[in-house]
Amino acid sequence: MPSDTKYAFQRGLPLLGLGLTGLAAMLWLLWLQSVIDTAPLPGTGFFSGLFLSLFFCGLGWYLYRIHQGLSFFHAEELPAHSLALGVVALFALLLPESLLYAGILSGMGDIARLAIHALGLVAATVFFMATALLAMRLLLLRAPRWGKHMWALWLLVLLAANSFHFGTPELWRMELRYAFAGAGALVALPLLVRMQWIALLSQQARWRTLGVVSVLAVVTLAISYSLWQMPLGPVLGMHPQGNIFLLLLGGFVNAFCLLSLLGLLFHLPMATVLEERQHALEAFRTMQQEAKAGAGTGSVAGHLLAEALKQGRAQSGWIARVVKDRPGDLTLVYEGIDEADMKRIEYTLFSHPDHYQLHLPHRYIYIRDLAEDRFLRHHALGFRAMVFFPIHLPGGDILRLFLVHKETEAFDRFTIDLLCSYIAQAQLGLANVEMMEATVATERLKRDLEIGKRVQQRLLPVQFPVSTLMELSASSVAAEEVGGDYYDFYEHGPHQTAILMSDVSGKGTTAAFHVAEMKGIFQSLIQASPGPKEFLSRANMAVASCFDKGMFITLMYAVVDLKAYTVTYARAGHCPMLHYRSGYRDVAELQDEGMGLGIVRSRKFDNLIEENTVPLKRGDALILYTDGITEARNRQTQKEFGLHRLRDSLLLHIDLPAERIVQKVVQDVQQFTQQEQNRDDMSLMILKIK
Amino acid sequence: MEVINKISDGVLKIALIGELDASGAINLDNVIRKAIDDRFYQIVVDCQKLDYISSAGLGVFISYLADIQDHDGRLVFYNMKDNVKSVFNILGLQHVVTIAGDFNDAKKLIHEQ
Repeated sequence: MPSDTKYAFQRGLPLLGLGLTGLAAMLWLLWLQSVIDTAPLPGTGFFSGLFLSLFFCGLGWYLYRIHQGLSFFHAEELPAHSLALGVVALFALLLPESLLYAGILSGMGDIARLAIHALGLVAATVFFMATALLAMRLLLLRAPRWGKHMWALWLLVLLAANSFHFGTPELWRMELRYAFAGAGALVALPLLVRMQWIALLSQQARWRTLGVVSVLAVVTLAISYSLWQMPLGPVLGMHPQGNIFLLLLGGFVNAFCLLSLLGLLFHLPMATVLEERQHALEAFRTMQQEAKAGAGTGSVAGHLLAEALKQGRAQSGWIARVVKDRPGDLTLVYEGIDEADMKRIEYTLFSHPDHYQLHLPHRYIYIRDLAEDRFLRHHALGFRAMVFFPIHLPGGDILRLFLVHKETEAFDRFTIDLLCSYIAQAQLGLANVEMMEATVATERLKRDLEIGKRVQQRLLPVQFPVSTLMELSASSVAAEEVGGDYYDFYEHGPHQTAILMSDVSGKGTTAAFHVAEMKGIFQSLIQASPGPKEFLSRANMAVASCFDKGMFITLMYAVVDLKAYTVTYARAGHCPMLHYRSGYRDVAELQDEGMGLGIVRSRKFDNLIEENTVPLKRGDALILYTDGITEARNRQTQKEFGLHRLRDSLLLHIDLPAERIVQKVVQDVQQFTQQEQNRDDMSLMILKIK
Repeated sequence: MEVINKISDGVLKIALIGELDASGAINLDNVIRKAIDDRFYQIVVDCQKLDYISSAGLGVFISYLADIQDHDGRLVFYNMKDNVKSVFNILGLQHVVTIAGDFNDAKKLIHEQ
């Protein structure tokens, strides 16, 4: 129905209801008038009118309720106040009987007697209608469109049944009446068999509803029986049995009570099975939430075992974890069994892989009776049935779930299937946990490396001295993950400059810390203006105490004297310094013996360091670098830049100012590699003598 | 990166295959630590298939140097590729570990003990 029309219809409903009620009131007054005019006693018409008006009122109220949008169709239980109504009606019907019995009724006048019967009749009708309306709430739960249309049709049938009140008994022959009644019943039948509401009851509501419906059924039967027997013939102009309206309505309520009672009785045993399924789904959800909440594998395993025990209806079980590529397993959780006993069972099982066909990809291994098993009967210790599930985790680890039971054949096919699907779900949950852990670890590592790079960059000097005698410049291009290159300089005076280039092993924040430590060591040692060998010796001692085991640093240290025009240097395992000789236009390596700092953490180190002095001429240059430059690879050929290319590049640009040389050489390397990111930091320092 | 290892005749024999980077270094560290815990201080490393060694890999060997020396043990490398050998030489490691030529040289050096 298009929403506009639907909206108009809904708006018009209360008016319709009001109209019908008004109509009923009018009819009532008319008949009352006619009755008072014609006869002292209320006739057939009177009661017909009574029924009709009651019906109209009821219909009006129903329409009004729909307009209010009240949830007719969402209630899931049969409220108990319907029962109260029934009790009242029963009382009202039984009243004449009891009064008769008490001998009071015979003394009353006809009107009084009729009034009492009429009261009972009205009460019964109200009860039937109210119960029918309540029944509708339940029968139309989750009903498709046709359900509501059927109900409207049923109301129309009831309305039409009232027409039998008008006219004479001869007009409406019994056959016609009963034919109509039969047809009407057929309309109600598809509605009556909609027992879905029973399935939707919660566990507590189930028993309560059974009680209410049982009593309701009894009350309804009692009322119907009393009505059937009621001596209202002269009043209604017919037997109540001929009143089609009452017949249909009463029949409907009776049928509803009876069918509901049967439905409830049959549903109760099935309900427990459905509940278990529901519970299993709940358990799945809990486990997924646990995985999301960042629970570890141990906690998930704990829940897995608890659920498996519940669903398998076992008291004893355990989960062990096999770590990839490691022998043996680690028990995670266990319940209802000693650790020693469980280990014995496991050991027996895995000692005979052929017998138990462990190499095949079973989803589970089920042993009906341990007492009959060749190997396990010696270790069964009172347990009879056992089922074992291997759960493969994405990381390569395996979880082993064992369930044992004291009865044979305790795990039926249904239970095992249920456990298998539950475990499949658990596997997903565990995979999530593992993925999350890995992601967290990766994120942490990435951040670690980024911080390392940033810190390292801030430790490097940016301003270089400008002097009449020499030019100094340096640059560092950090790799994606590394932050371990460090260079520095110190001017002792106008003629003496110390320069240093170093490379810390490691990556990320650890390397950055060590770079900071190195800077500290340099800054403090340099004050005493030590010679290179002395500097390295002291630096090694400093490093020996504060560097982690296995951490080392390579270093190139030189002191340039621009009075004597010499350079004194020592090499701690670093790439040899390069010396450009302007006279020869060549680049030579300044070799000497050396060892990285932090490798030999004792005085023995001093014997392994050689100090040399070399003369310098104007126009010469000293070049310090880290192996990130020589080891930079071309993306496609994977060839290294190498020392020879570095030499060529230097010779090409050597006449430029120091800063420009540094830039140009770095450019050359990057052009060679054609890569955005390098594997290692690249650092270059050039001291040019004017 | 693979670390094949076995202990025979009281010597830990390691073969390094591929590039020894940071994650391989962890693996290597476990292998050597286990041997050291079990008091095996003679270690022989076959570098024939070792293409590259990172500072992390070097760090692993360096971290056990003191222990090995204190117990009169020995760390011998053999069949080293040129690029790896030059890394060792520049760093000065030839003073603290033994770089042998081939397997027979290595065997002789170990049995000198």
